[in-house]
Amino acid sequence: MKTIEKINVEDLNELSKEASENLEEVSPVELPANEAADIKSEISFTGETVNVCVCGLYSGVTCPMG
Amino acid sequence: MEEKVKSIIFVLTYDCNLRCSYCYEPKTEHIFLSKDRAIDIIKRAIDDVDESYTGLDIQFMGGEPLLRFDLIKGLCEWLWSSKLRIPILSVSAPTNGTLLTPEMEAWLTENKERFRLYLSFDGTRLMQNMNRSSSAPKINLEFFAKTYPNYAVKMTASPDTISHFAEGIKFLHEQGFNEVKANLAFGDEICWNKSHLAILIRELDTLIEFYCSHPNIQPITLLRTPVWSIIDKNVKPQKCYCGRDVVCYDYDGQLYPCHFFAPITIPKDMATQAQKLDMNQCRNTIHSTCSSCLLNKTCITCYAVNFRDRGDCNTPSPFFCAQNKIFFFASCKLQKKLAIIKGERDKEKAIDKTIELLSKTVRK
Repeated sequence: MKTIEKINVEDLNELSKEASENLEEVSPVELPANEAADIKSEISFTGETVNVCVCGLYSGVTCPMG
Repeated sequence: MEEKVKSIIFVLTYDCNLRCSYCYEPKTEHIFLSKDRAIDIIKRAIDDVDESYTGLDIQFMGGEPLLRFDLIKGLCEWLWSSKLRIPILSVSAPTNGTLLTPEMEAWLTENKERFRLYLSFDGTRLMQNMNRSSSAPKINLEFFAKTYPNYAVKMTASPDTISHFAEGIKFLHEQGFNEVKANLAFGDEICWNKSHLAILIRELDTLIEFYCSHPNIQPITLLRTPVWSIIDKNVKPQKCYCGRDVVCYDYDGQLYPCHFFAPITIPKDMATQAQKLDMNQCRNTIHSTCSSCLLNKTCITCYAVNFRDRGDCNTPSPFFCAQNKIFFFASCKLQKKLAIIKGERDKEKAIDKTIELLSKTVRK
C-alpha cells in the first residue's frame, strides 16, 4: 500500500509535469466543479511568510526589479 | 506603531559595462547626472513621501550603479548628514561586481552597516561566464560573501544555464552566502520552451535533496513560498506594491511605479503611459483565468513585465504561469520534507492539508 507521503509526491510530480507541458495559455490550478464547494479546510497557521516576486531578487512587498 | 517602509529607487545611470544575455534593460544611452541635480531629485522624492511611512529604503539603480560610485558616495554622505522628516532605514545598490576597486572596497567595508551592495552572480563561474559577458574572473566573490554574508546574492538562470540550476545554487551557498535568490530570466524575448521546464523540475528535485541533507541552509526564496497560504484564512493575497510603497525616480526626475516601468527598460512612449496607470486599480483586478486558481494568493505577477509584453498589467505570460506552478509544487515537496526533518508537526499538518487540496486538482 502506498503511504500518504508517496501519493502526495506523485500528485505533485504529476502537477509539475502538467504545468511544464502548457506554454500556450495561462491555466488555473482549480478544483473540479464537484469539489469546489468542499473547501472547508481553512486553517490558521502562522508560519514564516515570504513573498517573492518574479525576478527573485526581493522578498517582501517591496519588489524592485533588479 | 506598525513599521511602514517606502522604497525609493533612483536611477543614476543607464550605462553598463556588461552585455548579459537576458538583459531587460536594452538602453545603452549615455546620461550624466550631477550630484547637485541628484540631491534635488532625492530631496523632492523624500518630500513627496506621506507621513504614514515610518522609514525610507533608498536604492540606487542602473545600468551598473558602480559606474557612478562617486555619485553614490556623495548621495550617501548627504543622506546620512541630513535631518530628514522620515528616517533612512537602508541604502543599497545592486551590482555586477566587476568594477570594485580597493578604494571602493575600503569605503564599502567602513560603511557596511549602513550601505549594502548586493551582487548578481549567476551560479558557478561557468554559468556566470555564459550569461554575463565572461565576467567571472573580474569578481571578488569572497569580498561580497564576507562583507554581506546575510544579504542575498542573486542568480538568474537562462535557457543556456538552466541545466546547471541546482549546481549554481549549491556553489553560491558554498562560497559563504547565507541567502541565495534565484530566478529565471523573464520576458517574452527569452526563448524558454517545454524542455527547459522539464529540466527545471529535475533541477529542483536535486535541490530539494540538497536542502534536506543540509537543513540549516536557508533555501532559495522561490522554494520558501508559504504554501499553506492557499488554505490559511489569515493570509491575504500577496501583491506587488509598486507605485505605492515602491516608486522610481529616473535621472531626469520623472516618477514611475518602479524602474521596470521607466525608459531604461521600456520604450519612452510606453513609459509615459505607465506614469498614468492606476496601480491600485491593477492590484484590485485579477485576470479572469486566474480568479479560480488555488495559487492566486501566492502568485506575485509582475505588472511591469505584463504591461511591457502584453499591454495589460494583469495578464501574465503562460511561461510565468507554468514556472510559478512548478516552483510552488517544489516548495510543497521541500517544505513537507523539512517539516518532517525538523519535527515541525503543525507546519507539516498544514502542508499536508495543502497537498491534499492540490491532489484533488490532478486530472485523473
